[in-house]
Amino acid sequence: MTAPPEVARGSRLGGAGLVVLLALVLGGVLGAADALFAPRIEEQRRARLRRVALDVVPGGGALEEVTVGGAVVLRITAGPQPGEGALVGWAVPGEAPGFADVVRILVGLDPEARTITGLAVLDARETPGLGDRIREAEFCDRFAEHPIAGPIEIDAISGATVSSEAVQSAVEADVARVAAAIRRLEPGSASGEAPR
Amino acid sequence: MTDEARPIDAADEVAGDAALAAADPNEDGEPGAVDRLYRGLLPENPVHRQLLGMCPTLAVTATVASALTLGLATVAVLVASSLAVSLLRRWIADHVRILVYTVVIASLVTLVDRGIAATLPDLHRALGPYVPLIIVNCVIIGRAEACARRSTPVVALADALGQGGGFLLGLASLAIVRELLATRSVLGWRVLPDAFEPWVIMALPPGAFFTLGLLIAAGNAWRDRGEPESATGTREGAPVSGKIEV
Repeated sequence: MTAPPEVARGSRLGGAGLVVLLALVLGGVLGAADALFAPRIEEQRRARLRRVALDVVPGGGALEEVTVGGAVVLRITAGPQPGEGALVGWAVPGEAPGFADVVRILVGLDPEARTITGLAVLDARETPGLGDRIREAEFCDRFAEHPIAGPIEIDAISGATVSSEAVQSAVEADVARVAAAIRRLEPGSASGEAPR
Repeated sequence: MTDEARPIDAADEVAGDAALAAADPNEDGEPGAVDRLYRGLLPENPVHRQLLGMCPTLAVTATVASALTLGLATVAVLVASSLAVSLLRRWIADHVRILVYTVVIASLVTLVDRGIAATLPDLHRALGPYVPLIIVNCVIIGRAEACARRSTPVVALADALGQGGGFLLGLASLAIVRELLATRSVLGWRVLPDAFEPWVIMALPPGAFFTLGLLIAAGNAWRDRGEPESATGTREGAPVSGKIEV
């Protein structure tokens, strides 16, 4: 590329200098903003998980994160402080591929990890009006009182078979595996495992 | 840009001017702030008249809440980027201007995205990837190129508010129709009676296309009201008020 002689080379470098300067300044701003926002984002995520967990395990008052069988589960007690009071149940996450994207759920279990107490969809991008109905209580409630071991027999939502089956297989695979791990724990260690 | 810098990118500049001339029929009399503000809202509405930013327009207008959130986020980014480009316009060399716009816009979008994630987590989840995708919204880089880089900050601000407000109005217009017909509610408020069977398809992608097409047709009919129809069936003398007619 031949630049006309009257044009100083410096003008090109000058233009590049502005880009570099902007990148440095804006990079600094973004770093500062991330330091400000990241703790709040994490806090919001935990707050939502708590809300959902206390919803799927009725009667819970406090919860703590424990690792069972390689998965992080929420151990829910009557409270008022985490780890205090009688064991009320467990909230176990699970996921399976749905129609559009991965469906993430949280399943509440009774203290013995034998029966489902409740189920909620944490994250799903299923078709609005069809697959998205797996979020509705009318569907989630079909899992309540169901034993966790063995196949889960639930009527799928008509028009949303794939999404319904995603929830079902997340329960049968991820949640059932963690439930089995919880049952294998000695009663003492189940209540005494160190919070993460 | 400075006159000395022009010869470097003569070809670039000509292309830019041609695009600008096409985009801005009124270039001779440089429009003032009030004119810029008004144009963006209605006659040059980015959604209905320029058909820009179609991807978010179609994707996030299933509910009014998500449309308003994305619209406001876009306005915030557009205003800030237009102001930044306008303030820096004397130092932005022509051959790096797209780079400068991209750096500025991407940084602003990241700020807004993290801000929404920290304050409105539920809406942020519902919007999925569309907040980060504001970076590639052509309304924003288009205004930097067509207006902000050659305007004073006041005019650039008015232009950004007009075009951003127009984009927000455009998104809201689609979302109100779609949410109403798909769920019988607007912003969660029940409007239509039980007897109305919800049109699920309005919440799905086809519903977005139907609504956009019908609203653009309605806008054209309104624009052409009272215009005599010529023998060929085309409307003569219909003002070409849209910036980029498609």
